[in-house]
Amino acid sequence: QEVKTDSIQVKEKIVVKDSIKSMQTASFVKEKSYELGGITVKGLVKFEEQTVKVYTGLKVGMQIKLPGDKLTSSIKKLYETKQFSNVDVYVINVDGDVAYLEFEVKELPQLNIVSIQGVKKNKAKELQKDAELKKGAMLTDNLLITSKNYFKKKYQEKGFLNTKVLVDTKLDSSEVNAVNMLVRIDKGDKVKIKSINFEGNEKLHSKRLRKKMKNTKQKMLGRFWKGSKYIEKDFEEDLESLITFYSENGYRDARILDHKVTTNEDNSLSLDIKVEEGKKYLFGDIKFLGNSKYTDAQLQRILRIEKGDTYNGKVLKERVTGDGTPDSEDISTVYQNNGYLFSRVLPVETRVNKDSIDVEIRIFEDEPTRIRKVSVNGNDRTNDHVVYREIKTRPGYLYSKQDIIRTIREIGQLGYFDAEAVSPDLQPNYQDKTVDIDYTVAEKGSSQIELQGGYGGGSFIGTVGLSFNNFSIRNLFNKKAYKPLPMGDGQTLSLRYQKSRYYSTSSFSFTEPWLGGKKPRSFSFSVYNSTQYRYDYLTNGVDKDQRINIVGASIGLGERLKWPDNYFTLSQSISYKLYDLKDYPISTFTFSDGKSHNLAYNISFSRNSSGPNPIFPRSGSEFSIGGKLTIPYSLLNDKDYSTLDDDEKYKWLEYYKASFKGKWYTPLTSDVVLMTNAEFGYLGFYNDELSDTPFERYYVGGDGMANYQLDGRETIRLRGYENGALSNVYGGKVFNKFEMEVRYPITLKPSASIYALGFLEAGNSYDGFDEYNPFELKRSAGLGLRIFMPAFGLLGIDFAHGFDAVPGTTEKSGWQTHFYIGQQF
Amino acid sequence: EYQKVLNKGAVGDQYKMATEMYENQKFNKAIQLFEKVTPSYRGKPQMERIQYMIAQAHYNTKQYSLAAYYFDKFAKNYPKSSKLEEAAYLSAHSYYLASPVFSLDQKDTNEAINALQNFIYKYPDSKRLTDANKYIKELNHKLEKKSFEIAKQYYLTEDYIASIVAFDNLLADHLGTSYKEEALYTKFLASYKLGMKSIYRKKEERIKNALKFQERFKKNFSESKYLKETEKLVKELNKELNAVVALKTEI
Repeated sequence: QEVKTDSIQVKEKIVVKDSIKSMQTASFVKEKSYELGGITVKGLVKFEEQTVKVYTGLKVGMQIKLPGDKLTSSIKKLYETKQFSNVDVYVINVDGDVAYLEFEVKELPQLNIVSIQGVKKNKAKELQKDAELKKGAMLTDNLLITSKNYFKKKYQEKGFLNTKVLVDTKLDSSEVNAVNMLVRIDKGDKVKIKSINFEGNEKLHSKRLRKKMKNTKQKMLGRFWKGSKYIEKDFEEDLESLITFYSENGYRDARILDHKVTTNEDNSLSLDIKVEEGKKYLFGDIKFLGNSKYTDAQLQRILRIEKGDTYNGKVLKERVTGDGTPDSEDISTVYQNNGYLFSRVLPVETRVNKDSIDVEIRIFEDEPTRIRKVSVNGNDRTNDHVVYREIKTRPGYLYSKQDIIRTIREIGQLGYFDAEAVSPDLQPNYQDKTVDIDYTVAEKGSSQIELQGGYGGGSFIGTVGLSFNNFSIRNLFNKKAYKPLPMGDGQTLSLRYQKSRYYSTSSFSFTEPWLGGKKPRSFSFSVYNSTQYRYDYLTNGVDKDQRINIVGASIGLGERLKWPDNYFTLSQSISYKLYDLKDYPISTFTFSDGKSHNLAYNISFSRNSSGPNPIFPRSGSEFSIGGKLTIPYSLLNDKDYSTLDDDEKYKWLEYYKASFKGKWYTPLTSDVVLMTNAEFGYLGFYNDELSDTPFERYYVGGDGMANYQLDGRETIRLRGYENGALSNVYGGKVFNKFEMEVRYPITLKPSASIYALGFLEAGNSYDGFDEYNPFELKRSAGLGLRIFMPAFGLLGIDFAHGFDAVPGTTEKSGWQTHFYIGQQF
Repeated sequence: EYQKVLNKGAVGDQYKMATEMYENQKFNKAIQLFEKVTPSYRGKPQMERIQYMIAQAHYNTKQYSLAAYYFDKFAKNYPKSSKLEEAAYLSAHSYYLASPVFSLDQKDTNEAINALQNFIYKYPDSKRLTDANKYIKELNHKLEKKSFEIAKQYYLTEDYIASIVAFDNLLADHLGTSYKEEALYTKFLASYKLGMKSIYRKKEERIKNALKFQERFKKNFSESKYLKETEKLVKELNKELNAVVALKTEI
């Protein structure tokens, strides 16, 4: 084969190792254009030659400069595949204007088995997962170094400052080009902080300063919550908070002169911090500049800082630009809530006097901004009109931060979307002073299924329950809308059927939150039917001639009000229940044949501002005042009720009820929430001759799950006692209860929300107002857990200790376990 | 047998069976098998066929969002494929089929319009061009309907200010929309109600605005069936306006 020698020496292999080298070569050798005659690949183990050729992006027949861009980029491409540890290119032959290239590659080995020594097995697994050391990963140098650093950091963050990590690799002979990784972790002893010493602090005591260091703590007996460990990053942060603490107390010149970390003989640390406190300052003159929308006096009322107050940079900043919470009261928020999206408010120290600082609040108001477009993204199942009607920021309105926050709450409260993931995106347009707002939502499951089978009382009991919380009734007969069910119009539909040998119940309910789509007026409707036959426990037989049949229906309207504020709702409903007894004696009635009607009017006036997540509210409150009453038949007719038979007396039930409920949600930290609850109920009668009704009574105690509906009773939860234990067998006529519950969220993912809780509660049931004593309460305390899964609803368990004895006993109630299914509190 | 191959079979057998299943129209099973073999064939010549078949299988099982994604991926990975045009078209068509009713999120609709437009731009001589154009028109109409219904909902819930701005947005975003007549008409109705119900301080300005909107409606749709009704309302507006102006001069 004849070889022509041009400027390129053939066979002597020009090495174009990487882009840098080729650049260097380029300056020495004149580049020349060749036609690419062929590519060969050497060094392949697992890869096909063809694949690597495709990776290079070079094609036989193309023009290529040697050395040149194309070659460089093809080497880069090969490296970018992250499959090779080394790529070399050689010119193996030049035939006139035709050049032949050879790529020599070294394939990266793949990770096979990873073993981590020095930690527990479970921990090792977790570490491997966290460090993403998966089988089949390409073993790059980078991977080795990052994993090593990762392990080290992980333990150092836990206070094991002397952690040693060794990463070793070994070829795995059982597979082609694979390696095993061995990680040895020696975490050593935990390094604790023995002491934190301050120098130079005369005005503020060391104890107070130490308290302000949230992450770095001295070793102390009985410190459970926060270990005493040293993490450099956290320590730096703590130093900053020291400075902040000083400036909050008027020492705005305070600084850290020096800090030193020394290791003691016993392997503990000592931290020495040298501070310079400087002078204490007061607020001097406070001036407002640039405000035309609000007067100085109005702004001063928001600022709430007077001349002569201790200078506090933090408070000044918070009152001017906000403290980061949604209901922050500051000047900037006032502007932001009234359309001034482009406004800027800045506190500026204009003069430092001897012991005071003059401040100017500089305000750039700009023009009020109007909202132009409002859109919603991510509603894959819920129709636009259901979401848009909850949005408070609308086209043409003045921009308001407060309205955006309210919208996030309202969308979350719908229950169809992940309440933790509603996010507004603002696109301001400075030119025409408008803003577009786009809300991104994520749908979550909102239907629940209940399927139960069980054996009880000598019979099989089966339950089927379906509840659809985002139903679309108009699409009931639209085949296309079944995906798998007609959804997206925000209606609630639920069906339940339970059957055993001696009883059956069925119920149906439907709610449309916006009747007619014009106003937030909800409409609800439900029917209920149950039949129970006489069951003989001795013969295990069912007598179908002896039975009680209950048929009920209710219809209701609820309206969201604009006054006193727009969190209020007024709801009214009429309910009717017919009890039809045939030779069936039950304790509530004193007759066993006949009919009884329960027709009642319900009204409730409520306010609900809790939110934003309906499953785990963090703020706001819920109140309701309600009444339920029947027509006072006995006062309207002339019958003498004192002589009437029971079946006449109770033909039309009469009573009235009043209730009050109040719930407050107070965030204690960013996660921990305190729920405070107070409830009160009263059942009264119209006619002395008729006296109390045996129906609609209160049964206090236990889990509060309503499962026995025969006499319209209300079960009131009071944990730590057995179900209904605090009322007598006929039920109470007055009750009250108080609860304090601390909740901590473990996870709030849409697939499952889990939170833990601890509570104190007290309550009691009374036989009438003459016995009522709000201070004679039965107390309890306990711990519990709630799990909310979209498909199953709520599951929960509480362990509660009742401190008092239930009526009729002398011993305290003691520990009780309560389970919750499908109900929400 | 399928389970056995799926769980324990060698890669070669899995690939063979996947192809068979695909050819016998058992697409769901084929997809599962293809997913199993994909890692082993990465970078090999068979991959082109596999990716195409995965996309087709999703398309045939009506999983259009996924089909669109896989066709799109195929077109990007194999720019030299003979099936490139087909894949580009099927990707766009899959987005079109995945596009939901107007009242839901229109991400797929926008994707479809983009993909169809790219297709038209890239293959101006394609025999599928008429279809592509037809789909684009249909999808645009869907977006118009969405905007229109939202604006109309503001009107129905008596939020006239929001309704007027929302109709303006619709007309600005979709020039030449087929909803123009309805939009201009409903916008006028909203402004009429806003003007008539307005507080005294803003009444004059709002009534004048309403009159302006009617003028515009009339100019655009002089033959409209709504015209008569709007003219009746204009009379009422003028009467109210005179009363307001009279009251103003009195004060």
